Amino acid sequence: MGNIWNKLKSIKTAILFFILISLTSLVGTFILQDTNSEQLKETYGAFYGLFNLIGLFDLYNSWWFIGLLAVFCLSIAACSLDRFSSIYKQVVTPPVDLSDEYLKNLKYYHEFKIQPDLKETEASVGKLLEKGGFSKMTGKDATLFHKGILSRWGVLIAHVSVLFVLVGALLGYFFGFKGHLNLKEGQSVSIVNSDKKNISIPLGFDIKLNKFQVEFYKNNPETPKTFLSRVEITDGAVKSPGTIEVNHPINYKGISFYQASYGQDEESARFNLSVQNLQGKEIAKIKAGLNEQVPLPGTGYFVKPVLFYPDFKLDENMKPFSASAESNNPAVCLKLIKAKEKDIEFWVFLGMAEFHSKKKTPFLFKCLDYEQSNYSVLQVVKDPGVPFVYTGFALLILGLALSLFMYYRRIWVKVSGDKIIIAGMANRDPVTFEEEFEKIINQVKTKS
Amino acid sequence: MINVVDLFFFVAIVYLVNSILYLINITLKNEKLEKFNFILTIIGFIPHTLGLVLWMKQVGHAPFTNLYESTVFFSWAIVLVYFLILLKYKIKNIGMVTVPLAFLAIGAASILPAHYKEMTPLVPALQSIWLEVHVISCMLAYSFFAFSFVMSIMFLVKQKNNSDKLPATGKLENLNHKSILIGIVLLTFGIISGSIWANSAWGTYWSWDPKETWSLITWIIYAIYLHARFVKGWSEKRLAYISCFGFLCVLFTYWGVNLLLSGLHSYGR
Repeated sequence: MGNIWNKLKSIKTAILFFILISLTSLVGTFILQDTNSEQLKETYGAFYGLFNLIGLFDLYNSWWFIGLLAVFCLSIAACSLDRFSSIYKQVVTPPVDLSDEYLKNLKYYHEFKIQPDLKETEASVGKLLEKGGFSKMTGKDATLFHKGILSRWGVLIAHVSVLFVLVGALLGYFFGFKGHLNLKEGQSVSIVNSDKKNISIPLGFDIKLNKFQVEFYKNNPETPKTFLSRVEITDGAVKSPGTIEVNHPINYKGISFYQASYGQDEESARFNLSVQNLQGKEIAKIKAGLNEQVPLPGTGYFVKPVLFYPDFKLDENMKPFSASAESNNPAVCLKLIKAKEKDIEFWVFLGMAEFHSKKKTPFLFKCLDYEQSNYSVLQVVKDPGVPFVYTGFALLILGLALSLFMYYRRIWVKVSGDKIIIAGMANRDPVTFEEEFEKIINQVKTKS
Repeated sequence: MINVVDLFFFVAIVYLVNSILYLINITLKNEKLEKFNFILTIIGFIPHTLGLVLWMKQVGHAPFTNLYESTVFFSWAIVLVYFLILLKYKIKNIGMVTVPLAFLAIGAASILPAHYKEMTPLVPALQSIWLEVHVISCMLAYSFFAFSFVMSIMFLVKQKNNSDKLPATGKLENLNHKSILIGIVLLTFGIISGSIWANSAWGTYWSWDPKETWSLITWIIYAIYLHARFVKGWSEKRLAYISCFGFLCVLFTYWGVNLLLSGLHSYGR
């Protein structure tokens, strides 16, 4: 048992863990992390099954990676405990009464012999050090002065902070969930599907999208400047409205809602059509939604938009498709319907109003514009680990700052026989300490 | 109106000429040329600063949102740190390594294809005070790591052929250690601020996006450096190698990830 403990707390083990964690996480940056990808099956062929089994495509959630982090937690815990006892020994109950022999072997050592009154000199050295911010500890025949004690605790705080972060991460992994909601205006939901675990999670309340707003840059109309969702949460009889904006999530009963993105709801498209006779004279203006059959007044015909491609293109077989969801080349396929006649289907392009289908139609159609409502994509997150992680963050900064901006050094002052000994030791930063030590010695020299 | 991209190109050329003169001076050891080197660094630094101010004015945000502007800024930060170190420690000859490094950064930025150099407005996720906090701390961290890299290289050279042009190994090791300490605090702060920002934007403080992962790897390498100092029997030479390796990870985190891998930080293109 003692052996395992000693191994767990050793610096070499820590370095081994560092190397293991960085190497494994490195692998994940070069292999696409997506267990549903068909492309991966092609790329890895026969190895796909094996790689999938060992979780190579969801590496950061695989049992062995989580396990590695958990064992690393143990190692940090062991090392923190070990640190605690050694720091406690070092700064709270430090060795004061050391032998002359021991002091002589320290790197920074000085002795004065020709002193008129040793006790007085000892007192003045003490005053000098205390003035310089050193704390004093008096022993039987020597005095210890030390400074930068917080830096020792800083090291411990930094180690414990990593433990907080890792424990928070594990809590989130085991007890949290993440999911997406695609909400249309007016739509209300009370269940969210988890992204990873393929389960539906009841929220315990209703969330309804009242309005979605998006604003674009004036000089760069493709880049959105802001977008936000105005929502209303209904929990029993309590209704609370809220606004979810990018970078400004809302939280209700431990569940947070983030404005992740948005999309265009093609189903909701409504087209403003101008109908002309073959001579080019406008005979009607009509509005029709997708799959909505609208009469052409006085003709007996009905028109029905049946397909809408925001980015119309033709594939190799001259079959139309939409290359993207962006309205680069919006086109609508209209169906002209009359009782006892064969339906006529043809495409109308928004960007090319004068282009008419070669198909024979009794009228000419122009699509003036179209309206479309957006749906809002909300990220839904429950993560009970976040307070731990944030505490860890704060402690990490504090710990690192303490151990960086301060350093621990000790100076022993001892009267031994006819001489006074001043010896010092620094945990870090020998160059700075050497200067400090020499300065102190010089000050003592000039004073006496 | 001045084309800022051209101005930065001019700065790159000044740094290049300066780097070549530094290299020539390794053999010449001419003191007048040393002074001229310093003046030339200032001649590059002034339009560099001016260009960044102009760029910010025109684009309307801090120069951190794509690879081009951030690298130009990084190069600027290297020169700034060089001036600061020069003020505090008065070490001769660090310009010999820092100026070529600053040149490599701004030169690499200058040869990026034109579409990398466009001024782009901020998408909503980037409109946050965390942008400044996150990027400034990461950039400063990178600059300190660059400086520690310079110290390590000088350490290794000094150890091999004890050139009298270089400071003592002890001093170099000490500065290497100090700049790594400052660098790791800044990097920690950078990662943490990015993490808090991501949590407010996307609801995940950590998503193992390649940039995040690589910044963690970099952080770990420097953590190894800090721990390795306490392993008995590990030489200072080994520490210098770890420090150099750490800087390679910095470079990959910064440039490699953007150019070779894709992820959340892809607007940094």
